[in-house]
Amino acid sequence: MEDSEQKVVTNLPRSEVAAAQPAQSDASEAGTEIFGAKKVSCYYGSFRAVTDVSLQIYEHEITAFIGPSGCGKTTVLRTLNRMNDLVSGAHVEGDVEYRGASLYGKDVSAIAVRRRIGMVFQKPNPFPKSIYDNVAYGPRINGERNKGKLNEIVERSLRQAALWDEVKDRLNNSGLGLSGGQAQRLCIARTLAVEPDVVLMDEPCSALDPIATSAIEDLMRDIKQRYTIVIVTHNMQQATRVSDRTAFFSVLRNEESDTRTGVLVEYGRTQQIFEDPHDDRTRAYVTGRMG
Amino acid sequence: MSVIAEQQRPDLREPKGWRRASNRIATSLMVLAFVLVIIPLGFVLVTVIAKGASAINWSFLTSQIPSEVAPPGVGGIGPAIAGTIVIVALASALAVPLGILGAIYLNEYGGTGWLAKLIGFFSDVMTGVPSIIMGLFIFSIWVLHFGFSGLAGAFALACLMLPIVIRSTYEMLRLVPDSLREGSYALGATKARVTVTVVLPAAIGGIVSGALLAIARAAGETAPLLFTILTVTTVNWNVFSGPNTSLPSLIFANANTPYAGAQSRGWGAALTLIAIAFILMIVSRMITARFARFQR
Amino acid sequence: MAEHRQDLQRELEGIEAKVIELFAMVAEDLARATDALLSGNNEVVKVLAEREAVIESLYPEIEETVNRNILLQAPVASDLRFLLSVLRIMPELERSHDLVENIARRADHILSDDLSPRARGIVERMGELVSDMWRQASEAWYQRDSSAAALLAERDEEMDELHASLIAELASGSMTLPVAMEMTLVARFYERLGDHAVNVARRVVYLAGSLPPD
Repeated sequence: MEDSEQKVVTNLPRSEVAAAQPAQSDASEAGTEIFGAKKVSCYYGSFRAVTDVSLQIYEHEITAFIGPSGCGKTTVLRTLNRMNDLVSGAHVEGDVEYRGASLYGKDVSAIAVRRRIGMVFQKPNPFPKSIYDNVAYGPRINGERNKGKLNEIVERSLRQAALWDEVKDRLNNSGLGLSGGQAQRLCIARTLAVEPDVVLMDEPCSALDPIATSAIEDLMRDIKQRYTIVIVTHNMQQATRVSDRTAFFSVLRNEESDTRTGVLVEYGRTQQIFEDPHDDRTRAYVTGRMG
Repeated sequence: MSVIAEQQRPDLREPKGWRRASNRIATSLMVLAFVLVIIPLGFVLVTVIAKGASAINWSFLTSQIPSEVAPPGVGGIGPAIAGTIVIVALASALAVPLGILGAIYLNEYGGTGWLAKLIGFFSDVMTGVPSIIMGLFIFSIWVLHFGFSGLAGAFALACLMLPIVIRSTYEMLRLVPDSLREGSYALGATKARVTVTVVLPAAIGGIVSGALLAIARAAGETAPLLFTILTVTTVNWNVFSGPNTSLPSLIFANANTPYAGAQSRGWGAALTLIAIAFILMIVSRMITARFARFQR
Repeated sequence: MAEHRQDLQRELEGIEAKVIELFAMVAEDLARATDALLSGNNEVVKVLAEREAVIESLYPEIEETVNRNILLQAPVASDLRFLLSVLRIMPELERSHDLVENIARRADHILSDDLSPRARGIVERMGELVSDMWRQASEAWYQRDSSAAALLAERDEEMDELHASLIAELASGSMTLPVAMEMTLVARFYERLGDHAVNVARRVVYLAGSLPPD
């Protein structure tokens, strides 16, 4: 994190950002709008990491955030479920609306937000508890005590995560004893157990081998009908395989003043972004040229 | 198999010359250092066992403390054992929960605030304070007003234990990776829930063994008890009133006399104390192992 | 700042160079063939036969390079559109050159004097038109110009009209039967060349993608 208390941080002027605004997103065939980000800027202390991002996420779609390192895609993802609140000094300008309700309004409880908007992380992080207790954790903290109901929830979630058959005979084994791909599916099951509305995924497959990756991509396609998914990925083939819409973020730099910030460059249907990108920067990135 | 000529193949053998020699020298030095450390420990153990084993039997462990001139084989150390147990138990009941809560505050809630820095600073300072100072402190603020008692002794021991428990619990909590906390937050848990349901269970093995080590240390302290519990020769189970005694106190007292009986009882008490510490170590290991079941 | 994937860039430029070469061959030889037909000079047939050999080796070479790059480089966006478009116009180019060769061969069998002046005129006009259409198609490919497809479609209509006129003239009996039969084939060859030019221009629409915002 930027040590903003010690030195004066100059941010990239907003006018420059405005000049680099993205092509309009294609809202064709879009369902209900789940998230509406309106000129969202994210700060770590006084450093503006992301500037004036506006986009809409639609229901029952998989939306991918792609872009080079440092472009703020993970930061933007984490603003969708207020996980950035956990970083001291982090704050958000602009607004994010979730189904019409502001996520950053005055009376909004971050806890309530996170119950409806779950997150899966890059490195699988199962709790040092049994597999059963891992999945039952969410429902338990929401007050569910009935053993029968919990059993049902655990089985349903593990089935949704395509992990049930592999672990049904060893639910009392430690969650830490699973392989990478299984552990990640366990984390997904744990997230699904609280029946969220949205599942955010921060590079969920980057620590996994290709077979485990395929399993999780299949899972994403299966659960798409019940949930809305937003995924940050470095793997462009993954974005093309699973996502309906893709948002390309990049770093906007001013070499003379040595300022930089993350911006949304282009956002549209995945086929259009990868077959015929409108912005030169998008084309440079997806074709790997990225000057 | 390989047709590569002899001189073309890479030389993968152990490094010759100075590197090999220096490696051997370093290894020898380390072994020597280890031996040097083990020798005095071994001596202590062997000496205590040799001198104290003869005094140990059931009546020894339960009889009252006789006069110091009594010959070996007469009387026992019962009150001292009782005293150690109640005083250390009370001290632990005071220091362990307080220490754990303090460490939780420091690690999870305090952050970089002034209170956390203050608590952390004072805790570190306390670890360096000589134990006799703790005894004198309790003497001046408690014993002078309320008299000698096991309670006062417990306070003094608790002052000693507190910074140790705080420090070890704090280190254990810090070892819990942030990714676990994030995973819990992401499911909609409050900070308190995260701490109690994920962080503590993950660190509990280390926390418990740290606490047990603090207890074992406290059980062997003499100086803080000098001015707080005085001494008795009969069992005093009432920890809140009346002077008491403890194994370290007894050892200290008996070691200062020339009588064979007292000395033999002293050695017996020393062996008992070592045995208690040993048992606590084993229990600590067992607990850690049990809680490690979920760590892998 | 350095651009990455320079090896891919070089491969793509190499393919483009060869494709341009093929376009050039078709255009040049088309002019030669028409000339040969009208002037009766059949020496050009040997030249064209040699060219055919070059094309025969160039075609699989280009195809193999394209296949390899699609497989190994996972191209997207303009890279992918380029490679797929190359695969799609290769047959058009190859067949077009075959047609050109066929036209040239007819010079052997027909003496230019056999043609009626009217037929001659139409053939000249057809030759000019097709050469121009191929020049336009080639230019469209090089410039990635997606508007050429509509223009060429219009000119193809003109070609169809010329074709119809020539057939009518051939049927009018002003030439001997063998000549008329040969010329019917030639007419068909020219008409097909026009179609191939239009096809190429259509492929350029996909290749060009959407216009960048200016």
